Amino acid sequence: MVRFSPLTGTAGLLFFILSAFLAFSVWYGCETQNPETVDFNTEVRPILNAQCLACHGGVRQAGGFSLLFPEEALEQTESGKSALVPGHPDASEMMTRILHHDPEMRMPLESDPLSDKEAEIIRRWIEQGAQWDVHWAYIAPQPVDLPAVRDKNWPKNGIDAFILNRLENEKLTPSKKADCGTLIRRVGLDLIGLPPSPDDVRSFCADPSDEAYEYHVNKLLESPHFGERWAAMWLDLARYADSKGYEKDPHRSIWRYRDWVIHAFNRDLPFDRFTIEQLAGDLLDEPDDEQLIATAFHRNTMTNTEGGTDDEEFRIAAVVDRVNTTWEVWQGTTMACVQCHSHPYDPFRHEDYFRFFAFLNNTEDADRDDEAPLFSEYTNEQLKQLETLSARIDSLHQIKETSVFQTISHSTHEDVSVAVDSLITRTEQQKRDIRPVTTPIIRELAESEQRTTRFFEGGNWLAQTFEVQPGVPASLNPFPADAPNNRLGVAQWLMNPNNPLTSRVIVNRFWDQVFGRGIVETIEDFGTQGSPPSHPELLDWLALRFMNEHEWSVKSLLKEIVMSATYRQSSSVTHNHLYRDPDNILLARAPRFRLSAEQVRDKTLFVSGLLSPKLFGPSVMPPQPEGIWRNPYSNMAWITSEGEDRYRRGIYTYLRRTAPYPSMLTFDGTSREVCVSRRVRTNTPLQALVLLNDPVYVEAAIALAGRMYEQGGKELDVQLKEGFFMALARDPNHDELTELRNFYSHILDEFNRSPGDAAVFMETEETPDLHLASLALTASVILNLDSFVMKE
Amino acid sequence: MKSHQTINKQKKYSWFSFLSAGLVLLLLATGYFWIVLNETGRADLLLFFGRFHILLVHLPIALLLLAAIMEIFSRFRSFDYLGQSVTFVLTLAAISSVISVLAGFMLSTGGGYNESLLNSHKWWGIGFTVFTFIALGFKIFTISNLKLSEFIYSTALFIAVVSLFAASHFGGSLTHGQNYLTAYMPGTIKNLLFINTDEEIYVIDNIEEAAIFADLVFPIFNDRCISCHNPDRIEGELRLDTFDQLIRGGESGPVIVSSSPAESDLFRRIIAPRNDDGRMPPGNRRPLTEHQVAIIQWWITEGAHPDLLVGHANRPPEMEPVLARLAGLETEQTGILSNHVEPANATIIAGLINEGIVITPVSQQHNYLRAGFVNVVNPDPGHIQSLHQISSQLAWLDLSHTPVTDDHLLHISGLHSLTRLNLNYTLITDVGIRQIEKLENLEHLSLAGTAITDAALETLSELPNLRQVYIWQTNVTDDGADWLIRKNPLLKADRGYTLTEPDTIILPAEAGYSY
Amino acid sequence: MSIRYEANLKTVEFVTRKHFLKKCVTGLGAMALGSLIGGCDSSGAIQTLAGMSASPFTPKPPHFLAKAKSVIFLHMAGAPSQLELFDYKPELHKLHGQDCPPSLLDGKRFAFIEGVPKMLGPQATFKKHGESGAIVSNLLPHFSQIVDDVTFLKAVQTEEFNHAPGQLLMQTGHSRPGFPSFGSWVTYGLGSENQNLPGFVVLLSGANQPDAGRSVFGSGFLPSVYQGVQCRSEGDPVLYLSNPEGVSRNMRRMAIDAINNINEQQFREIGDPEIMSRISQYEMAYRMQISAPEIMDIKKEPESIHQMYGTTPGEASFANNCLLARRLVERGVRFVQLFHWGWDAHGVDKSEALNYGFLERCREVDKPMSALVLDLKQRGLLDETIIVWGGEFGRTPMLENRGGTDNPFVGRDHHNEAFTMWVAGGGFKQGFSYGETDEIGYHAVSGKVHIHDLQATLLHQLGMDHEKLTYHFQGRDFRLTDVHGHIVKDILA
Repeated sequence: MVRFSPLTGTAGLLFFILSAFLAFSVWYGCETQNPETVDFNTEVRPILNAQCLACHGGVRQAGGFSLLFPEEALEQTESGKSALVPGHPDASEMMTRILHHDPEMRMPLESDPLSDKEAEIIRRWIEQGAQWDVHWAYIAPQPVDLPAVRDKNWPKNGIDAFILNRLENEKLTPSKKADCGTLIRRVGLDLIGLPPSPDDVRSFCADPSDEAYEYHVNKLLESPHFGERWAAMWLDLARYADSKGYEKDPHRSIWRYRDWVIHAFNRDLPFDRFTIEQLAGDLLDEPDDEQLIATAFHRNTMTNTEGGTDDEEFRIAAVVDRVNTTWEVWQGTTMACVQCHSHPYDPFRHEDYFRFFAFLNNTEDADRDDEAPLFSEYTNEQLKQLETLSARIDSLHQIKETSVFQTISHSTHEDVSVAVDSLITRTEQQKRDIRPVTTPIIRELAESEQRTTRFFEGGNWLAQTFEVQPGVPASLNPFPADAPNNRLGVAQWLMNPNNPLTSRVIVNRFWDQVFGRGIVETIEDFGTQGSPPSHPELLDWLALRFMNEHEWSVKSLLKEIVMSATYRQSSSVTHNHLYRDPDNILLARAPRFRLSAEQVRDKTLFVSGLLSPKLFGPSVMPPQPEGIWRNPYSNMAWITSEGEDRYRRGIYTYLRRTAPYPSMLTFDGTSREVCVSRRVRTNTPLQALVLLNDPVYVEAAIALAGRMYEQGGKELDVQLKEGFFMALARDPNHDELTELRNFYSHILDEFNRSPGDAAVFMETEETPDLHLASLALTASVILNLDSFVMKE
Repeated sequence: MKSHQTINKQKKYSWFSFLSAGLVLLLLATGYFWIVLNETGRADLLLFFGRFHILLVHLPIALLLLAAIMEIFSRFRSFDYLGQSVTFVLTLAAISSVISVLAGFMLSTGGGYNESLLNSHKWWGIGFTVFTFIALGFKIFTISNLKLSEFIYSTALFIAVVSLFAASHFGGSLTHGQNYLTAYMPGTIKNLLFINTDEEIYVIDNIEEAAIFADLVFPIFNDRCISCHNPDRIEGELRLDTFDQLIRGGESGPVIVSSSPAESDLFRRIIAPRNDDGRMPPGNRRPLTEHQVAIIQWWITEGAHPDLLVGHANRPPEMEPVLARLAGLETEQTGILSNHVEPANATIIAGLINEGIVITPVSQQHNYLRAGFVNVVNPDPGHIQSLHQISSQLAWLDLSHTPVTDDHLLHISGLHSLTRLNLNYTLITDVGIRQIEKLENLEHLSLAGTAITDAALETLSELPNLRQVYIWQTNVTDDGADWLIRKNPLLKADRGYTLTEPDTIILPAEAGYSY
Repeated sequence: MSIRYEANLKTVEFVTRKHFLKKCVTGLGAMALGSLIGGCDSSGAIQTLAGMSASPFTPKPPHFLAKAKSVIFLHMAGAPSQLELFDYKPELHKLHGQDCPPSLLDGKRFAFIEGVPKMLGPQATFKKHGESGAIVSNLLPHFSQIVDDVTFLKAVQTEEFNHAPGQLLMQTGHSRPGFPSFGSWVTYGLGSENQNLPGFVVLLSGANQPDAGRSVFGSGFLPSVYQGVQCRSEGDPVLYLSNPEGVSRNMRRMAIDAINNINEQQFREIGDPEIMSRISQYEMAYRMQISAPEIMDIKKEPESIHQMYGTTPGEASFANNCLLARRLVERGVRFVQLFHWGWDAHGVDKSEALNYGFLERCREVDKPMSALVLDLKQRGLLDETIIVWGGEFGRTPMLENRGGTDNPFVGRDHHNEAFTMWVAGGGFKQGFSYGETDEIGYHAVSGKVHIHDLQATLLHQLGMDHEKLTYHFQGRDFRLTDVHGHIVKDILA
């Protein structure tokens, strides 16, 4: 037996350990040393944004070092050391400071150090030459071909290919098709903001084929209500309101612009012309009235009529708001930041802000109380009245010349001609009393009166320094050579196919309205801090199709979306889906979210048969509690509209900025002082109180009960089923029906015990119809169900 | 086998000769030292040799550890040969420890070291040397009872090792600062060892004797400034690691103008607002705390002397709390909230919240809880009892405006950490108040609108920490309340307030003044 | 209803587990309502189910130990004149009638003053009061009895000199509309204890609502659930609170049961957690129908209290609103915002002149605001409730000469350089004054407090770091104090 001497034993042991260690480190080395190049946008930029740019970016350049632009990052820093030496991480001070042991020296300063993984990414990035890639949103979309999918027969169009490809990668399967009632109700609410009539539902459910569905979709696209639904989205962006804002917040007549937007959507005005007419309608050659009224888009800014305010200060505030709104609506960029300093993380310099500001700084409006320049016109009835009045004046003049009058006047001479003259002057006065409808519009200043635009030091209008020439940021597509150097040129620049943002941002907005969540969730911010697109290729594919195949037609884009199989899925969620994708980002199921404030009102009035289909016209004043309008200096009063104007769609409700319509606010409507891209949906007890007790909704419940009574025949169950079907486009299941029946009978007992209550509730003097009263409260239950206010 | 022993014996004698020669040399040197050199020469020489202490001290450390390891391994059969040389190594360790202790003494004469740390280091060092000698002695001279000497030897050796570790720890703290070792220790281990992670406020034993610069000001520089202002990194050409360097100033001249903080650049920079570029510490590092600023300001106002003592300088009133804190007399948060408590069990709390009781932590940094009954429709005694599950965490309890009666309060005595209790407008009476007796931590008690009478005041007066009680709209009489305040002067009793009507009303017309 | 109980328990577990796990100290921004799933350990379905039904007003712990847990903000819309109330300037008394020195005019912008106005001496007599010896004018006889409970801020500053932007800056930290108001930020940060009442209540008095309209108590870009709920003294305290006539409480209970039963079946079928959240909102609405009217009914208060505040039930007065504020805070409402309109003393007409309308306003607020401080104090609530009093800016030491000629009545123009506010309770010093103006009350010379500093200090007393109370919007973490605000340490007890 060989006995190991202790010495060789330990030596052997030592040798074994050493070699194992060596092998391990070699393996570890290559494992982490994957040669693959680092992708700047997905790996490096998030680290820079989160950890570095706050102090080394557009706002502050601590130590003279900024990571925003490549050329700046490679410049000499204050300490003389070069922060970044492409290819040599060890020579780069940035790397040493990241790995530094002393907390006072280590970067990021005064906070936790980078994780090893992050530090490794930065090291490899520098080693591979520290390449800056342009942020995805600032590179124009490139043509994309459809991805391959295993299940060939599920997709109905290109959209489905992208969605299914992603689902298959994530090992998820799409949900089953939505039932016919739910689908037809969903597409109605999406396209025209109104549910289908029971007959539409029954006819579609009788033949729920693709062709029938397409026929129905086309019918919705042709409906005049289509424009009203999509104008609601656009008026939020345009910050439309019926008052001037600030302290006095007096009335502003601008409803003609709302009509223009509704009409534009209805006639499917291509989106590029839709944009150019709103931004620079006045600069087109021989613009027609409609194109002039379109420019009221930017006259929705607020006018400060408070005594003692400096008009120039608030004219500039209005132009600043126009710059910020233009960039948010068409470019999904938070340009508002750049008023005071270079953009913290996106490639926009402080000067870019004021070069764009120069384009919009030469309009005639100047925060005057009369809000000149105005476009004035007579409505048709007014034209008719004017005609009758001027005809009457002519006839009076003729009378004066006629021989009969001469003879009579001779004898009575004075009084008759005096009477006729006074009649003429009075009629002329009547003509003058017919005030034309005025709408504030944009008009460019004459060449001679053009303002020079200067750079605001720190964004403060009192500290204006050097002059700036109009221009667009260098980080985006160049200004088209043939475009005029004014607002019209800027509008053309926005809609130019090379602009990387416009088509994506607009397509994303329509997607957000239909699916409740944009492909890019932060629809107002496509910058580096915005959320990345969940399906980048789909976004680019749709953006290019919107420009090319659809030629900017909104209706054909929307049709393509609602015809997709993704859209036609059921919205019920299985436990697995909820667990894997709570926010429904992958769209393995149809979206389910609460209707907008306007849709809740319109749907309730439609279902109860009260809705007035009247289009266009000035804003109306449906019932609201008194005391809402108590503005210090104005005597404006809320006069509840009579007749059909009391039951108009939500978009026509008079909106006063300092006191908006309460039930709209409760359902997340906004006061439109500033452009609002996204209304954050909430779920509050105040909403419950509106649906239960607001007179508008109580009146609707009573009306619905009336319809159930007429169409449901004598039998209670049939009436209940009819009401349920009208509201939710489906029949109640057994439990739901029993629940409603029991509730009805309990209420009937209550009313039997005290019929007086029923009379008070139905607001009738004579003996109340207890059945109808109970039916009304049951209808109110239906109108309060969760699925009634949800789009599912 | 025999040769092995003899060598051993001869070695023993040579050891002795070598040892005695060393001692003689030593005597000669001290003689020279005491007689020949004058005062300063002696001090410098002391420091010269003293400085070798840092060098020498590593010898005993290594040698003793080696001896101990060899001793342990020698117990194994395959390593028993090591046993013979343990004595040799131990002797070397003993000798080197004596020399390094001596050098240590010399070094300590230089001063400028924290007293308490220096003492601990000194005594542990001496202990180390003594026990090394004991171990050596018992190793060499085996007394009759073999087992006993073996035992003494190994315990002595063990104690020597322990004192070695202690001495070196304190030594390290002296040179590199208290938390040199623990600074980068991961948090979990820190918690394990109960080292509190937040800024250690070291306590100065005798505040009066402390030197303002050395004991109060320099530690601040050491903690917050020297990382950029030290010999090998001189930001702004200013060094703060010694008094002379501080006085010399930096690139833009002196930073201290004695007795006028306002003109001292150093002081102006440490109080500059956060966004001022010249502020120190620069960038977005944490500014100096109020206390630190106050100390530096006081030191400069008192003439910025290197060795002025706290006791000798005149002391403005606002320095009292600062010095009290340094002397460890006063902690920031008084009362129960400052001591640590384990977080309560989340599911228990969920159960309580599900009953409608509002339970929230008093802050995101505390595990203490606040409970409110405002949403509980009709609270029953069971609710109060269920609070016992979080009795060690529950600090504030609000039962106001609820139909709580005396028998609800039967269970209140268990909630020992309560500091605030609000019983406004409840149905309790004196009977209920007796249950509150055991709540010694109670500080704030509201009884407005209840039916208590003077009878309850007895209990209230005995509550040790009670500072505030509200007895408005109760049946407590004025003299009852006066008795209470006399009995417990620390207690403030609110009995309600009224507004007196003004005699004249200002009418617009006649208000027209002569102006 | 077992599923509802289970969902409720899950909600509560989610909220408590999230807050009692030490590691969850992420910024409150994570609780953005849209996805309550935010916060640290966003794993597993149970919190999705529960997360969705947690109420946005669930109480949350502050960043650090708070001195106060609720706020009553008394905003005097129109800007009361500090020179007639608190900031006594004998020098101004001497300069009365003389022309204003040019140094005060050049480079300055005024709302109405043009050319060279005359100086206007204080239109009231002043005396020292209380142990602290604070100087208060004879126009506030009751307030002078409580000066030892308050801290005066004599040098508050703002950039705005027009009412709407000034009120917006005071209440939302920005002078342009579109930003969340103070109450929205506080309820978003801390939730509210009483689950049957709104967390942020607004009470208006005086002839009109504040000049900047609803946006001074709006929720801006925060979810609309955090906007101020205006409690109205005539009609329903909260809009649409009471059932339509003829519908009894019992019938409303049956209706809500029917609604929630059907909703529950719907939830079982399609599983959307939002349905459970709506069920809990209907329950809360039912409870609110009882709790809101009960708390707004001040007739229940004893006569001594009515006498103390000077309240007359049924009227819409500042006194009634002060009493309501105490009742709301006592019941665990987080933030009560009062506006009293009519302080704009330009001297253009009698209703606001310094020697007419202004005296009315002083009488309307003097007694109730003093009674509010004492009433809270005697209930042991003052030290945990912050009271703030003040306007959106101050008034000039000069007599206003609109259009170059003196106004018909005595009045002063708007002035943003320095004005006076006071705070009480909530861990502030008592009987203390901070900040000084020059001898004629024009410039602030020491102890300057910008509006952002005041906001940062108030948040600090509520236990919140004003730099950590953020909401992520448009790529940036927005704050009430924008990028400004330092805590005024000298006024903290």
